[in-house]
Amino acid sequence: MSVRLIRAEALKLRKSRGLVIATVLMTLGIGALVILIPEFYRLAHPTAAFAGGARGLQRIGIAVGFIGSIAAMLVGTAAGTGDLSTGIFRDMVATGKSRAALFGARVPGALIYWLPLVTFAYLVSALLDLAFSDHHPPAPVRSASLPVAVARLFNQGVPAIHQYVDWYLWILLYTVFVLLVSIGLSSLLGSRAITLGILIPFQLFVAPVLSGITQLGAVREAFYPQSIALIEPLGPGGRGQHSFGVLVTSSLTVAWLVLAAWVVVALAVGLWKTSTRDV
Amino acid sequence: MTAPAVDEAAASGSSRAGLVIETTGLSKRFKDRLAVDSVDLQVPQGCCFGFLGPNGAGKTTLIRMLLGMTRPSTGTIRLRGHDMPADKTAALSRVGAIVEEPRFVPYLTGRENLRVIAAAREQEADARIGPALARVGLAERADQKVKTYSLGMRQRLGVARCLLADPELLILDEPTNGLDPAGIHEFRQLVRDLVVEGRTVFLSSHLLDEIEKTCDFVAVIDGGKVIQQGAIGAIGLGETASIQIRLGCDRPAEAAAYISQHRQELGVLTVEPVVDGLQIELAVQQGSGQRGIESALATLNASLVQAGHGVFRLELLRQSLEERFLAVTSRMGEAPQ
Repeated sequence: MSVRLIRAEALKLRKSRGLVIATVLMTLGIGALVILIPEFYRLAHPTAAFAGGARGLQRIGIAVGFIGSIAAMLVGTAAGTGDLSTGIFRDMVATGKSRAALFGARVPGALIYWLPLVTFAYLVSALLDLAFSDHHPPAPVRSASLPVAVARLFNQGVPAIHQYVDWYLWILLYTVFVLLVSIGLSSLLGSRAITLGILIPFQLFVAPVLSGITQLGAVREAFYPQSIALIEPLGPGGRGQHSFGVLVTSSLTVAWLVLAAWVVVALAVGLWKTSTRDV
Repeated sequence: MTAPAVDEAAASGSSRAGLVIETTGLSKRFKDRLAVDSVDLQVPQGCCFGFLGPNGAGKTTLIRMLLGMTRPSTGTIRLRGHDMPADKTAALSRVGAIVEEPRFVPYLTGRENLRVIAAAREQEADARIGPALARVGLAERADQKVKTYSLGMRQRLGVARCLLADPELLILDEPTNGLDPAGIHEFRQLVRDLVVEGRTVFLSSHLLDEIEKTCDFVAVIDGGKVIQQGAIGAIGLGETASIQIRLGCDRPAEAAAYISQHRQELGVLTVEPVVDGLQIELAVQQGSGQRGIESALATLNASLVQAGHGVFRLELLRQSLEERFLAVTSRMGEAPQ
C-alpha cells in the first residue's frame, strides 16, 4: 500500500477545518465538559460529589465513546465520500492507480487522523478526571455529615490504572469500529448525508428500540450497539447498562464476531462499489 | 452514416504502433440510449487531435471510456499500445487528463491538490509539482487555497495536474470552457507548445474555431458516431468532393476555354471568370486527403503550363471547418457557436 497515498488521505481530512472543529468538540470538548461541569457545580456546592474519580471516568468513557462514535462517523464518511463529493475521484482513477488501492488508503488515512485525536482527547479528559478525583481516603460514613456521606457514596476515589486503560481501549474499539463501518458504507452509498442519515438514527434509536422487541429473537444480536455494550468495561454485572437499550447479547464471542462481521461486510461492499463505480 | 476509415493523411507517417489511441467498434449503452456507437478512432502520436461534436454527441462518454472511468458496452481500446482497461496502470501512467471542468479539493492549496494526485502516481511525480506549477504560471499562487482561484486558474492547475505524469498523451475535455479570450489564447499556445515537445494532445470541444486553430487532425462525432476523421484540411469532402481554387494566369479567357475542353481529364467541375483570374471547382477523391488536393492542383498546373499558359497564382480557397462541419453533421443547429 502506498504510504504517499495514505498521507494524502490524511492530509485531506486534517485540512478540512469544519471536520477538525466538529471532531475536536465531540471528543476533547465533550470529555472535558463531563468533568468540568460537575466540578463547577462542586465549586458552588462543596458538599457535592467530586467531579473526577471512578464515576467521572465512567462519564468520560460513555460520553467520549458515544459522542466520539458520532465524530468517528463524520471522519469515516468524509474519508469514504470526500473524493467523490469534490470530484477528484475521477482524476485519481485517471492516473491508472488501482481503485482497490485508492479505497485501501482511506482506512489508514482516516486512522492517522482519528487515533491521535481520540487518544489526546481521552488523555486530557483522564487527566482532568484524575485532577478532580477525591485524593483523600474516604472517612467512615458514620463519622461524616449526611451530605458528605452521600457525596462520598457516589464518588469512588481515584480510579485504578487498569480502569483508565480499559475505558481507553473500549473508546478506541467503539470509535474505530464505527469509523471503519462508516468508511465502507459511505463508499458504497457515495453520499455522506445518506450514510449519516442511516447510521446515526440506527445507533441512537433504531437498534435500541428493536432490541426491545422480543419477537426478533437472536436477530437482535446482530445489532452492533449490543456488542459494543457487552464489551463496555463496567465489570461483571455492570455491562451494557448504559444507553443501548435492552441487552440481549449474552456472549462475548458473539459480540466480537458481530463487530468483525460488520467491519468486514462494510469494507467489502465499499471496496466493491469503489472498484465498479462509473465516474 | 457510416464511420469512414482514417484519412490517409492522418495515417501517413503513423504506423499502427504510432497510434497513441486506437478504438475498435467502441460502444457505450446507457439502458436504452446508445451514447457511443461503434467508434473506430485512430489518433496518431505527436499531434493535436481535435474531437469535435455538438453537446451530447458522446465526446465525454468516449473520453471516460478511454480513461477507465466507465466500461465500454462493446469494443476495444488500446491506449499507448496497452489494452484498456486490462492494462490500465501501464496505459495511463503517461496520460494526463482533464475531464469536463477540472475539480479540486477546495480547502487545499494548489500545491496540496497536486500532492494528492501525485501520490497516486509514481514517486517522480512529487518532484514535478514545482516545475508544473511554474509552467502554467501558478507558482506564486500555489500556496493559496483553490477555492480562491478563478476558473482560468483552475484550468491551468488542471493542466499542471496533467503534467505530473510527464504525459505522452493529454486528454483535454472542453478545456477552454469559461475562459476569457486572453485565457483561450494562452491555453492554445500552451497546447501547441506541448505538441512541439512531442506530446500528443487529444482535445475535445464543441467549438469549431477552437479545433481549427489548435489541431492538426480532427474526428467529428455526432449522435455517438464518428462521421469523419482525418487531417483538419480534408474534413468535409464528400464521396467525389470538390475544392475551390483561384487561378491567376496571363490569358484568362483562353485558359478558361482550354480547361473547359479538358474538363474530364483535369477533373474540373466548373470554371468561371472572376476579377483576378478564374475560379475553378476541382473534383477530389474522398480519402485522398491533402495528397489528393495537391495532386489535383499539380495536374491542372502542369497541363496549363504545357499548353503554353503562364500560371502565376494557384490558390486553394479553403472552406472554414465550420462550413465543412455544417456539411457533415446532421444537428449543427444544436451546436453552440
